[in-house]
Amino acid sequence: MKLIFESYVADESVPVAEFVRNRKLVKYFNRETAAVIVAARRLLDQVELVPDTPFYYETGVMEFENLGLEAIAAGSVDAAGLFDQQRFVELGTKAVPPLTQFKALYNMPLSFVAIENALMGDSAVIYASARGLLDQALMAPGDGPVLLGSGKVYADGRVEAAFALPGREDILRQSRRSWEGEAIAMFRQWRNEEAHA
Amino acid sequence: MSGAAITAAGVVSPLGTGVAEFREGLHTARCGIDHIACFDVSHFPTDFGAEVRADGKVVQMPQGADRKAAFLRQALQELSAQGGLDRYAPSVRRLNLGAGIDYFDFLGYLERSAGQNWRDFSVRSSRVVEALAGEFDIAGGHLANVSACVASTQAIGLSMRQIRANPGTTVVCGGFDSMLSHLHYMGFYHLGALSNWPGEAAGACRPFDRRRCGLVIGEGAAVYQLEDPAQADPAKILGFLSGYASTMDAYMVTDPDPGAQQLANAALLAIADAGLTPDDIDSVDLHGTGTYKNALAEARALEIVFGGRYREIPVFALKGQIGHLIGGCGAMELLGVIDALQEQRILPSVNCEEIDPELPLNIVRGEPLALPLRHILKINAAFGGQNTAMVLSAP
Repeated sequence: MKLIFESYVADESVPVAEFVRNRKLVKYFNRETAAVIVAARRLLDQVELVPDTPFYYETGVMEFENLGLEAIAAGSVDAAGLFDQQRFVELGTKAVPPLTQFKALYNMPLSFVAIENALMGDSAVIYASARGLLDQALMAPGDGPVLLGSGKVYADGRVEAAFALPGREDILRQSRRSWEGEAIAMFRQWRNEEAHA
Repeated sequence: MSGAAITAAGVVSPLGTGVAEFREGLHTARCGIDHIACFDVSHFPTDFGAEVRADGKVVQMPQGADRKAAFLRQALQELSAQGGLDRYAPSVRRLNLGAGIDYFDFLGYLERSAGQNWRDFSVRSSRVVEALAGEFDIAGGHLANVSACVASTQAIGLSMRQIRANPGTTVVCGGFDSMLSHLHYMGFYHLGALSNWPGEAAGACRPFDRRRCGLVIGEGAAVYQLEDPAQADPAKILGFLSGYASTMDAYMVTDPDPGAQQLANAALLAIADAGLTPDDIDSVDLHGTGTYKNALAEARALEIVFGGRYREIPVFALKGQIGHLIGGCGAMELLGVIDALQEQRILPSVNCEEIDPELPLNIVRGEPLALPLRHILKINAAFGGQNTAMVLSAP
């Protein structure tokens, strides 16, 4: 099974500009999407996929990035520190650029990977569940391989992203295992098992 | 029938709480859109919303409550009370739900965040699904799909596939969402997506109307029980989910592909999945957000799917009545499709007063249209370019 696992510590820049085909898209990326774009490119540079390859992505709970929440909060309180509805509307919500909304939507990493790699097949974005990702992959249409991805931003600022291209037998075998928690941990274990194989 | 039988439903909606109240609202063309009353929207540049109602009144909750989680529990209670889950052991019951962005208690964060992480003020949708799976004794697996506006239809489509693969199981599926809170609502406003209709609130969402001017955020939950048609109690079958497919535009995250090839492909794949051809489809329930570009893309997709017939096939959309439930939209609209199949008539799409000349579609308007309905195609599309299509068939 082909597998890519990317990890960046809190202050480390994700080199997404080197991996994205359309650099105009970078302004829409949060750290998870940036890492995911890199991981997907590294995997897909090694293989040729048909456009209708099923693609399922699991997004882990975003623990670190708050997408400008402190700025919105600071702009939404009065001198006494109490919430002021008018300030919220007129100052708070304008403290972050509108493009921030794209960074908050959970299906953006999958959508940007699809755009970057011309993927048009079956898709789904599963929230915080390795088991759910495998359950989805088990029901993929067709007989070919399935593109699986995952991304996670941790409380300490670390970001991880992983992509794999398992065949149907791989998915079936993995689905028999007891995967709990988020998918990024499952990908990490796959990487470690491959390293020791 | 090779798909899945829909044998029970539960709904909490802007038209009312419970399937009976929802259908009564549909039949009387009631509009669930008004000025928001469930939280303070003073100074907001727009304030239209489709809020959940019970007995005609907007449901109020204390600040800090995750409305969508409460709606989901209530919808599951209605479904569970119909007894169909009891026919299956907990280990062969599944729960697949579409959800939106996690609820965030912004005011609570401002008041009490000293020393606390912002995450402590959010409610994770996946945790809600997990908790309710436990509460309703659903032990065969659960997941939350968060594919924006196709989250719930993807969850339902997956459920049909699981029933096909495992006929001895049952799946509860659907979607739940509420973006009616400070940050989420203003976030959509800043995306430029919300309706700026200058007239009465009931006219704010106008799918396919020449003067359409954006979407109206809705809220609620809709859930269904799916079973293998051979194992379902025939007396309880509301309809059949007979085909499903999803595709991705791979075009832009901000706009649908105006060529709509992948939206059309989703429809063609779903029709083929049902063992049908486009000529077998009697009507189409469209995504119909009320935005300018969505309508053009859907019209183009129908042209690809139906050829010259795309001007004649009757089509409809519900968001003018119930708003856009984002992570739960397709699931709630599915109840309108089931209603059409059961009543053998299509209800008019509200607020489509003057059809855009760029959209030569047969949108049912004014009066209900009675006709033999065997199969209805339902399409949805998400911000980001994900598309779904499903075929619903009459019992």
